Amino acid sequence: MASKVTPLYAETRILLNLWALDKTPASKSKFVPSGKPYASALDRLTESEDLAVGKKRGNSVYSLAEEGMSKLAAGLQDESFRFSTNIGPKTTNALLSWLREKIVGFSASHSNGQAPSDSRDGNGSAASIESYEDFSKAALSTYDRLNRDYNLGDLVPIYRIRREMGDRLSRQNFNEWLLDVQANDLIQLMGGELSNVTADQLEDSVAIPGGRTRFYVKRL
Amino acid sequence: MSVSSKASSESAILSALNANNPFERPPVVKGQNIWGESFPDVLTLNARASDSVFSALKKIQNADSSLEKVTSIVFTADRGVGKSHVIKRIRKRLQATSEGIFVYASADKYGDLNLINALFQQSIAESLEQQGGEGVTQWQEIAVLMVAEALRSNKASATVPSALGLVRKFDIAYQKTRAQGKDLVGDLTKAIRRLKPGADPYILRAIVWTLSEERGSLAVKWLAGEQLEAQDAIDLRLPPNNKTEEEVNASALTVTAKLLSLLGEYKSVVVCFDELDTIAADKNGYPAAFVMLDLVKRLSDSVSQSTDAKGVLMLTVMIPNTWLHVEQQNAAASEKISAHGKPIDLEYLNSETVKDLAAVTLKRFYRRKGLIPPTVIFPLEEDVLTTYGKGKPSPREALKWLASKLNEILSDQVKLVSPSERFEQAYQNALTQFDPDELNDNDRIAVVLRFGFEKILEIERIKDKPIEGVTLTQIEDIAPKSKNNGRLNFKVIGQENDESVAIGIGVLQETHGLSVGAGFRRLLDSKTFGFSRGCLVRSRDRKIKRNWDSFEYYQQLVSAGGEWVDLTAEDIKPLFALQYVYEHHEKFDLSVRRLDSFAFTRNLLQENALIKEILSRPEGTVVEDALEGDELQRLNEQADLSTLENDLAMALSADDDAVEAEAQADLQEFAEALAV
Repeated sequence: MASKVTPLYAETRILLNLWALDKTPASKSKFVPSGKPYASALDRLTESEDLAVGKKRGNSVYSLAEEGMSKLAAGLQDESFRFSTNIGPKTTNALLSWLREKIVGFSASHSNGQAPSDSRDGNGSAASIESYEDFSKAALSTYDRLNRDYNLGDLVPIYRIRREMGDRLSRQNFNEWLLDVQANDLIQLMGGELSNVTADQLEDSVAIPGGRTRFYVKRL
Repeated sequence: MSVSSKASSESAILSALNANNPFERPPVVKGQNIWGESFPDVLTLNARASDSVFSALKKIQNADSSLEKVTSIVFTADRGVGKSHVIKRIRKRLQATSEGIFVYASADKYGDLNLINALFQQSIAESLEQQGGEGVTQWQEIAVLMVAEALRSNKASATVPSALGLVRKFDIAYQKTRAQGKDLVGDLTKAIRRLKPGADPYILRAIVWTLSEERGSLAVKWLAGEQLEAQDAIDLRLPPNNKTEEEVNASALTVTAKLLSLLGEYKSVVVCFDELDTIAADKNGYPAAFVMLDLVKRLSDSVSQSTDAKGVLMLTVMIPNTWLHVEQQNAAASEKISAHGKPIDLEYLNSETVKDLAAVTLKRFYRRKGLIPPTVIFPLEEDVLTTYGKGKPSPREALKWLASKLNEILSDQVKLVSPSERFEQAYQNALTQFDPDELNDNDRIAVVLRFGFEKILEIERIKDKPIEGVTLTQIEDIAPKSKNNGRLNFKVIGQENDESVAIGIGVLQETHGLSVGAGFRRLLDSKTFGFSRGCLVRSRDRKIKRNWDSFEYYQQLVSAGGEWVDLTAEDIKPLFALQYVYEHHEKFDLSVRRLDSFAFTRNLLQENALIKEILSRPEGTVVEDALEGDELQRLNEQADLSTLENDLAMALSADDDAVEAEAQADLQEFAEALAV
């Protein structure tokens, strides 16, 4: 593909630049790189209503529509989107602010309503888990999915389950309810050999009351 | 009396518990302990696992096809979940019911994994030296069955003596027939071989020899793949095994397969492979687990059984992770290692079994103390245990938790006495909890003894003070581990005048010759292990028989400047108690520094008779009182080795009718000799 600018690349860069601007609506000279592929990308985006077009002193000004937001997120997630040459601080800083916003949004849970759409499951961010029954169902299906998809041989690390479900309930509830699922004889939590385990994996595991850390879940 | 049916007073119970917390000494079952006696067992726990072994045994016993006579089972469990515990239960049940032979192979003791086959052959020989169900060793059990079958086939109505009777009379009968110019062992071997034509004649001969009090230990040595003295080989009429370690290892796989195949013809065999999950590896970098599993797989390929055989079951225990690797990397092998089906996961405890564990442990304690508690789990409370059990702890975790829970309950029992009083009280209490069964546990004794030496080095005020003229400088592990196979325990290094001394310590409490001999050979090999003298630590009432190879080794040890130090309960008890108090120092509100500072501690260490005896210069004499029995009488003084092999080949191939008739007549006489 060398230095050829793909539509995905051009569109994503335009969206990113526009997103990062302090002031919108903005005229196209502020966010559209020069070159033919970018001009046609701008046309496409306008046509698909990813961008909203307005008029200011006779000139066209653009702002990011809801659709454009998701398109930008999807474009950045897409593995074929990549830089093939040096890019200036403008783009890099735009990426940085994207990252900052998204990471903050992630760790602050849903508070700012900006959770990125989840392109893997395609069903967006899932509802939060409020009860033991919901937890038990969700945890077991997460177990089954991980076990199957990653061929884990019925030994699924607790930290992976927690990370899959992490944004849907508090750590405290996860710990409590997981122990309850065990007490109800649906799973056995197991210790395993912890020699290759990292500190954060251990942190995301569970300790039984008055005992050692448990690392794996085995469904009974 | 009506009084005895009443519960003991609460204060009596609490003060007994305060003196000895029965949960504080968790019975970690390991290695040697598999063969031991004392054993609080929660029978409901993992009953499915142990039952599955016995139902699999039933199945292979009754199977019509010889292919179904060999099977394998896998248990998976994390550390502390009680693998070894279940193994011990299986071993005890096999022994109690005389249902089968138990072989225990622990990778933990295998120093050099490149010699895995040879080491496994050793494990078979050592395991069969353990007591079976009829007051004789497992080797002898097999030999008795072989002889009985031969006698019956010779004459259906032949009276077959009991196992113990046969062992007692064997040497006499042998001498009697020998006086008539006959070779009883040879005749028996021939008769057995007619019934088991595929069996290796030397192996048959060696197993028959295990019946002999006099030469049994040499026969077992041969069965372990060890080299025999030329003269012994001639007397037993067995090839002397003059081979290098590598050669022994190369042939050992065939030999072990032959042995297991033969044993399985007479009794069901359970071979248990344990402690696979060690970090050791062989020269190709394969971890212990893979080396062991490869052995299991090759055995399951090469052990063969007749349709009438009792079958061979291989039981492998490992952590779930290890099994996962096996399954993912080599599915074909996993079928051979777990032919009986999916591995059986050992259970963690639950609310019920936590209570059972508490009750079983307390029951034992109260019985010993002659106390009657108001409830089986007194002073623990049922709902507390129920809640705790919901977390599904492992038994090892639970014992620890129970210990601390009990200490919490007892905490208001602690009287506010001075630190030194607290210490002495704790020490005195600890002395009373010594269990004589611990004298059977080499490893445990070695740990406690090593603790004593290390403590001396740690305490500033005594570390430079010579004991029996020796100033300690260091305690070291035995190296190279690959040559040691867990036989010797540690090295004490010190200065005596201006000379440095390095004493290799081997605690060898076994009561059969094979293991003691293996330990002795390492005590004598001061060059490999780098010590100036070897020191055998062994109770003198565990006498060394003059017909063991160890008798010769003992003399060599003494003349090489080494010695045999008497291990008595009285001398080792203070070290057990001291180690306990250090381990649980927080419970007594005493810091390690504080414990170090007591004159009482220093005296216990410096004046310990065992420590002193180890450090003092050996007397250089053999202690005759610690020996028993007679030296071996040579059977074939004038024969020499070169003719032996020919001779053997001829004797074994001679199968013509004349010889057979003669052999049958001889057996008749043997049966009569035994009947006397």
